[in-house]
This record gives sequence, structure tokens and C-alpha cells, in this order.
Amino acid sequence: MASYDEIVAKVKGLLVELGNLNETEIAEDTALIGPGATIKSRVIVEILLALEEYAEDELDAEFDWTSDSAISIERSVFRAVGPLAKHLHEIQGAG
Amino acid sequence: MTEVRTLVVTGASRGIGAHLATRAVDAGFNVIGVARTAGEGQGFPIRACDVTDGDAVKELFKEIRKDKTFFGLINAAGVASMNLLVSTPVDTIKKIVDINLTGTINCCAAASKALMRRKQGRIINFSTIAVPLGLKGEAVYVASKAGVEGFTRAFAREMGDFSVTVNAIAPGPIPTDLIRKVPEQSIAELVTRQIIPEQGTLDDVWDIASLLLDARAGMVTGETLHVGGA
Repeated sequence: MASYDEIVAKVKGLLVELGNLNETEIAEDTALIGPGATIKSRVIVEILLALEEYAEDELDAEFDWTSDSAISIERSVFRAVGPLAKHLHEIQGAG
Repeated sequence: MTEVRTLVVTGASRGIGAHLATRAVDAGFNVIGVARTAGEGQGFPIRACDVTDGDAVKELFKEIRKDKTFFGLINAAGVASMNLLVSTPVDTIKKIVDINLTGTINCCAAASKALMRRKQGRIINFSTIAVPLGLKGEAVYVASKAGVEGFTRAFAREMGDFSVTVNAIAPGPIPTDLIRKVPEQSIAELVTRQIIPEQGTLDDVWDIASLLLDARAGMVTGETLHVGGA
């Protein structure tokens, strides 16, 4: 089982690696989509693809990010770093 | 050492799909065929999957995409039905759209994730020359394939950031089971409406597919290529 903090670290690591962000700029409320987001949609897709593999390989979970609310700023689980990590933490072990 | 490239071909048990899969094996690709019934093609395995079943397609590609050599998808599964719309049963309309359009979309959605991760790949869909020619008696078939062309153009844009090309091949009346019941006169009339008024062959289709699979076609995307011209 990965802790919530470990999953947050994974998401932050991907933002640094794929989004070229500085780790010190990333917080749990860092927006991934919507007006406050500075990350290109292409990079978000790359991060979600990487997290899908991570979920399957290391969390024993199926991270299905196809959703009608996927790009809804209010409802999407990937509206920000924290909600995304929380979602991954909640689904682990259910794969 | 030559790089191994795995190609998934739907509709691989017969017709254009079977021919493309066989020629792809000859060209050095590792081919995985897909059809409704599992079996063995000429030099490639055929996995059972109904392309209209989105969940089944997703499961199939979940396994295939673990193969790091996965390079491309050819969506050759398709059905045709020559009939006036007013005499076409509702179930037949649904079947044609489900297999030709929804099946293509299902396979593209499931296959694309692996290709996006690798930032390379090829997707080839199938339309028909009947789309630009607007053939009488093929309204539903043409509608389903026009959908494939529109999808191909739009999906190519979604994949462009990942260096994955998405194109469609639109054959004329290639001699396969699909056109077995079409009267010879209708085929002859159709052929005369092509820019090159000759009936294309299975190898003509493969030649275009192999061009699109080639590394030099990395900047060709969102296109529909008509066999014989329209």
C-alpha cells in the first residue's frame, strides 16, 4: 500500500519530469486543469497515462480516467494535485 | 539488428484485413490479428474480440500495450450491405454503424494510450471510395464510413502531439467477400467513376498501407487516401 504522501510525491515527480515544473512550485492545490493551470493539456494527458501504468503496476488498481466529468473544473478528480492523489489513494488494492 | 514492430490488424480472418496482416508478416512486422473467432492466420495468431464491445476491446489492448514493441493498428474490420435505405432493416443499420464506425473508434481509443506513451505509431482506418462518390444503395454504409473519415481527421489532431499518425484508406471495389454479392455491372460502373478506371487489388491496398507504415510517412496524418482516386 502506498501512503497518500507517497502518491502526492509520485504526481509531483511526474509534473517535474513531464511538465518541466520546479518542485518547489508544486503544492497539493496546484491546478492541473482550468484557468489556474499552467500545464499544457498534452502534458496532463502524458501524466495521466503514466499514472495509469503506475496504478496498475504499483497500486494494484485500475485508474480509469475516462469520465464525462474528466475536464470539469469542479468535479474532475484531476482538477488539482491533491484530489488526484486522493483518488489514486482511494482506489488502490481494487485492481 | 532490425527493430521488432508489432502491428494489430482487426478483421484479420478474411478479406482486406487477412491480406494486410499476411503482407505485414512478409514485411517483417510481428502481427496480432483480431477477429470475432480466434484462430491462426498465415504467420500470425488471431485473437478473438468483438470490436463493437468497448470493454472487450479495452481488455484486449490492456494486454497488447504491455508489449513495448506495439507500433500500430490497422482497423480493417468492416461490413457492407447494399440496399436502399427504405428496405434496410433497423438491425442491419445498427450493425453496419456499430462495426464500421463504433468498432473503429473503440480500437483507436484502446490502442492509442500505448502509442501516446511511446510517442510514435501508426493508425490506419478504412473508409471507402463510395463516400466521395455517394453511391446509391449504400447510404448506411457510406454514412458509417464518412463517420470514419471525420473521426480520422479529428483524432489525428489529438494524436499529433504524440507523433502518432492517423490516416484512412478508401478502397474502391476490391475483390473480396464484401463485394461478392454486388452485381458485376455495378462494380464496372463504379470503377469507371474512379480517377484511374481500373479495379484495384488487395496488393494496391497493401502498397498504400505500407507507405503509411513507413518511417518516411511520419508527417502524413489526417488524410484519406483513395485507391484509384475519387
